[in-house]
Amino acid sequence: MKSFSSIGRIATPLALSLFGIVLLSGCADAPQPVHYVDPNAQGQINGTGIESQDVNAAAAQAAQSIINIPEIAQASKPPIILISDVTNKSSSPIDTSLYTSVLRDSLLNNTGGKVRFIDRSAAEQNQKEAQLAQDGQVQGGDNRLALSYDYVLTAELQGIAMASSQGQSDYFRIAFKLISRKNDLLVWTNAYQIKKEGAESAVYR
Amino acid sequence: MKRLLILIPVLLAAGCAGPSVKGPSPAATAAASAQVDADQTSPALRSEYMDLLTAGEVDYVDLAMKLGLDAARMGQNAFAAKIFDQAIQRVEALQAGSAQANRAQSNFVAEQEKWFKGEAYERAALYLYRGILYLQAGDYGNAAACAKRVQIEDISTHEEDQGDWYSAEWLLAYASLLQGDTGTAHDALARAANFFSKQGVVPPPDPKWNLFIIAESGSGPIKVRRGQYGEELYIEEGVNRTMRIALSASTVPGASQLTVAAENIYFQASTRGDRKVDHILAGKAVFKTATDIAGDAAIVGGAGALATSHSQTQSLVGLGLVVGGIVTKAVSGAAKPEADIRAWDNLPHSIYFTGLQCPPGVSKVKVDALDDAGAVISSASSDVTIVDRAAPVFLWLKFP
Repeated sequence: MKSFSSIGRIATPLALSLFGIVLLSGCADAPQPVHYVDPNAQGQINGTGIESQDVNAAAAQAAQSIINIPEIAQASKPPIILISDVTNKSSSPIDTSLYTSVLRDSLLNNTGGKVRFIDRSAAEQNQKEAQLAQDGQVQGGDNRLALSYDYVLTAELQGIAMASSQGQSDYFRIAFKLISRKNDLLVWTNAYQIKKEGAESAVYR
Repeated sequence: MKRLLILIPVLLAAGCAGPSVKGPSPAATAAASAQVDADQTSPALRSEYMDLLTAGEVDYVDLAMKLGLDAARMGQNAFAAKIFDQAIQRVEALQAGSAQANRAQSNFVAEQEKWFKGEAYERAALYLYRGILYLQAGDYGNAAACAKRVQIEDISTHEEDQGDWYSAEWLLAYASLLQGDTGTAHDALARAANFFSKQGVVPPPDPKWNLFIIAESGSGPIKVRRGQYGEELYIEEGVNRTMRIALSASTVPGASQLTVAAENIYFQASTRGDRKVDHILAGKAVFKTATDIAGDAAIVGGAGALATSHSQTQSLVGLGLVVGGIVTKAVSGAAKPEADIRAWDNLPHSIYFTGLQCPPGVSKVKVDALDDAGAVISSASSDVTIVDRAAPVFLWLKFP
């Protein structure tokens, strides 16, 4: 009996430890509390897709480049630019409306008043208001005369994606073009490139 | 024998380990209910949406795939897009080094406890359906992006091959034509023409179509477990009777469109053969087989030594073997090699795309589903109002 007790002293903690490990391995992940993050910081969700900070950085770079071209830098008065919607030619679906807004904001804040931007998003509403004014229903009966633009700025997202059992990579190129309204001359181009690679867990291979 | 009795509870306990299952807290349920109300969810989708919002991350993508597709079929496109986007965000989040993925690699955690991302065919279908929704919304750039992503998802687990979703190339071609990009459209159709997955003649897309048909038929792939420990994942074909569809409109007599499926999802799910489990599951199965054999041998040998022992030393050795056997058996019993058979189970067997250019006004549109012999097995008809210069009218149909 003595020998049995000795073994019991060894075996019982061993078995209990084993069960502890087995049971602990079944514990669920603790829920993550909501917290604020810097919108310009790398996201915690580790995908290889384009993110808001990429568009911000590209727009800031484009802005710096635009204000240095002769057509802008030597203009007698700040040229007016129309920013067209971002077009997506990449292999990643994006929120083009959001990225167009990010692009517009970043350009507006980084060109230091050397260019002005035109926005047609309220044009329809403004026309209705002008009609009401002409009809004498609201104040300000002067004829509406919207500005036209000197240049149109386009932004196209291009990209190549690769995937393997190990993970994936995404190459993005945000290509900007500044085109003259008067003669369709391509005045300026610039491109901002991003490449991201990420590893996938072995459990998904 | 008394000595052996102490082993019974231990052996019984060896197979019991696992995570506790508990439902959502009252607070989580209340928050989900508020979200369901805030999103003005259709009554037919409320239950599914509640399940999604309270299920947690483990099954989120699976539930989102099903809910998104149900919503799309009901014409709740904005809601479907939102749900699919939530699923895509999670599918694209790489999990290397994450706590849940590391835990899922353990031999003692069932594979279906990992956060579901689906097999390659399910992830590819997710992008295909999201692309269809972008197409319906007139966002052709993102529709084309989704079509490209379908092929990326298809090759992500077998990179030696190329993506071969015919429907994705067809969708890419159509979205490109609608953007005036004939080069990309031509290239996409040329690639698709060589795919093994091609089911037959699918008329090419026409940017002049103002009536577009999205039709589904049959039931999607079924995942089943096989093997000694259920460790092998097999894909079985769901029921499907429709082999072709024929589209006609009262306003364009003689201009009917006959097409086979643009995609056979079962083909896509099974073209890696009766696929073997992945290497982690394979690792568990090998581990379990090896340890089972070792464990059984140790218990038998140890019990034999105990029964015939005449000395304390021999008893100690025998008991040592028994305890060792118990430990090994417990480890083996706790291993969870079963294949993950969670599936996007409301996928169809096949998907069809076709269209027509109709004159402005009301057209009586009819779509027939044909079987192998060309007999009509089901029909759908609808009065469709075509507005000149407007985006296409989309009809989403389901056939047996």
